Amino acid sequence: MAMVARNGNGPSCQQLEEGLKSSDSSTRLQAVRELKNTVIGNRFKKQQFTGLVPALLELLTSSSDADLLVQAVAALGSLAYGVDDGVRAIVACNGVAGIVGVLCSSNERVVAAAARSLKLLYQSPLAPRDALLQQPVLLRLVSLLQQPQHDSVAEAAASVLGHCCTSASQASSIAAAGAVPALVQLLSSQRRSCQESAVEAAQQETARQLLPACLSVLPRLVRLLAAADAAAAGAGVSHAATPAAAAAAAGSPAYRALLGLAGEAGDSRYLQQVPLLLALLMDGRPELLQLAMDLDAIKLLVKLLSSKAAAAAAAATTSQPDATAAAAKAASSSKPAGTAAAKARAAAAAAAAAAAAAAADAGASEVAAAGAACNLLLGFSSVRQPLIKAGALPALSSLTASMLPELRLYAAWALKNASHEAEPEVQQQLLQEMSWQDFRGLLVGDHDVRVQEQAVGLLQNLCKGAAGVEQLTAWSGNELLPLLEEQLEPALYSSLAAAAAGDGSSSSSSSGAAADQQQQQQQHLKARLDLCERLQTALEQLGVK
Amino acid sequence: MPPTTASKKSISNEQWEAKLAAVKVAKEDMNKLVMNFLVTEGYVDAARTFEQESGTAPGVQLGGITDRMQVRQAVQSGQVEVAIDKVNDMNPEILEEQAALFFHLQQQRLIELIRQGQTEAALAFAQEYLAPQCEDDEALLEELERTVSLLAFEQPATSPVGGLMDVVQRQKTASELNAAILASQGQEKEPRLLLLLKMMLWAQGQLDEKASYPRLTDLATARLSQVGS
Repeated sequence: MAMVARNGNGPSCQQLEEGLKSSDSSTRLQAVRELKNTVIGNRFKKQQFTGLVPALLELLTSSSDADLLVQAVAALGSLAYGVDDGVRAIVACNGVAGIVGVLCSSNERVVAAAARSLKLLYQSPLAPRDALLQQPVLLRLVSLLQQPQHDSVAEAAASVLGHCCTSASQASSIAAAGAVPALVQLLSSQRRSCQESAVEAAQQETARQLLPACLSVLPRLVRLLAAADAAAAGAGVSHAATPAAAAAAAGSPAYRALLGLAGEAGDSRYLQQVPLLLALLMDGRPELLQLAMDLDAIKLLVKLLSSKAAAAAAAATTSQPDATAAAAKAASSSKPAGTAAAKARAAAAAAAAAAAAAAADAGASEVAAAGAACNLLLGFSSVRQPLIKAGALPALSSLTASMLPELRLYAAWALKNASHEAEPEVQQQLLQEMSWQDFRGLLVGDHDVRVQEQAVGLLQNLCKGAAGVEQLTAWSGNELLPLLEEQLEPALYSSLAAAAAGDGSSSSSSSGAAADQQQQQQQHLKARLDLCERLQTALEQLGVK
Repeated sequence: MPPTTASKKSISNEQWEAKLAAVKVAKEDMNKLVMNFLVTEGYVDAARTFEQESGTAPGVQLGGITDRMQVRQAVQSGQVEVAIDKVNDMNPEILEEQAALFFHLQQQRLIELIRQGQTEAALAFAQEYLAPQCEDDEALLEELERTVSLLAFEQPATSPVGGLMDVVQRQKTASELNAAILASQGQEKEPRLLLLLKMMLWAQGQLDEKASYPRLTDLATARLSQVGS
């Protein structure tokens, strides 16, 4: 086959177009095959030949030759992969309908090629999701999920559905079409790529429907997490020489990029889903918690927590050296130079924003892992111990310093749960891991009142526990009691109570938005009041009147 | 007690061989290793014959290996375009996602053009297909430069980069492609035998620090060295 002409140059766009439109069927087939082989893997050639999309689609709709259809649909999928212009060209010519038409062919090879093309096409956010969620198409895709002998087709269908699952309503449609049992089946497949696709598709609404089957699903999810973890560790070793390894060591976005490079662990999207699914499935069900423990899910979650915590900390410190330096300089200078202090504050604010951006990028999976840790550290003591032994406390403590309020909340909550009626050693460890400064920051300095609540709960548990007054006082550098008294200063207390009570009467004549705001303020005040009461209880626990 | 070089234990050949003779390895295990090797490397006919003669199950559908074997044979006989076409039909994602593998296949095409003496065609090919891919990747650029430098010599095969012209280079590319196909099918990339040999070499390295003993210096013959020689 003349893939490369005598003079070494490949076929031109014009030559291929002529070939595609030829009246001779074997010429057409050869042209499509050449096009397919030229563009697969070659970003530049894809861009060069995007103009051939209409001609290819014409072939899809007009031909019935299986060989030709296989080549044409493969070429289309490839032209769309990684090239926005290719996707746009296909969408502009109503190409999705063309490919879907071929998906319903009776020829297995054609169906397989079409499914793979859709998979490639739908990796782009530009591909139209709703087009695939219409009834005949959706049912076809779901039926393709149930192909036990054709793993690659099922995997492609699951991947496509996963990419179409970006909203709750889309997820509901997919679940309603009966996708869930088939996804569970896929999760049990031997091939990890099948499992990954199934996880991608199993989101939001569909996840709740997984609950009945979760006893079989949970081990799979844990194994996926373990495999990704091992691949990342292994990849870290084998890529030691490359800059990628240094980047991976530095922060979680790079960790995910490294997983992509390693190839083994697959698309990093699924890695975000696994802890979420685990958290969802384990929610309050003791037999699942037990199963999770048996499967070493604990160790993996903790590892995930600590790697993200370390990454977030690394991201924070690397983005703040200027701020730290400026602040140090300003602090050490003898005269209170207004400009230097202002500069330091500005630098600190900029660095904090950068760190927040870096941390925000890594949001969902740590939050999910921390949420899962919350549940696991609850009263079921048989689950709590292994988690603590695996190092949950240091990991959670460092997460309380995160930029994300959700993460701080779950981390503080998890620590509170861990401290509830805990053994002396556990309480000791908590005091060791958590510095007074950090804790004080949570207790009085945090902007999110929910975080403060959890911090107070943690303090209450510590006070009730075996640590004792002297130890807690020592831990806090003698600041604990003054802090509590300050928070409970009578004047502050009564003004808060008055404000909370007083606001209710004047709202009737205000407009809707103002009334909402007043209501929020009222709730905030009530929350503050509640905190003060609990701090009072804590003081009493310490034996101080 | 940490071992010191002075107190390294010494084991004679007789002692060593006596210990070896006491270790039992099942014939079935060895057969499985051989079958795994044949199947992973794609030697279908050999695997079939071995199955008949030893009664060892292949563990995979031998018919499914045929495609993979054809791909391998195509590369090893220098027909890279045929291999590319076939692997794309098997699974287009392999070459879409593995840039280094894709480059090596294109590089092999370039080498074949040079081998056929088509200098101008080779240069044009390198410019159109290989150079763009090297823009972002220094390592690939270096490999491209080495390959193109073959054209500077009248006798490329005997030049300093002549190794590229060797049939071993074809085998290297073929193996890389074979491993990628295996991985995409969810199978292991390497034969177990390779893993065993690596473990043994590693264990020897560990033992070297603690004892002097008959070592396996030649993997192919498994001959033991003589202690004290």
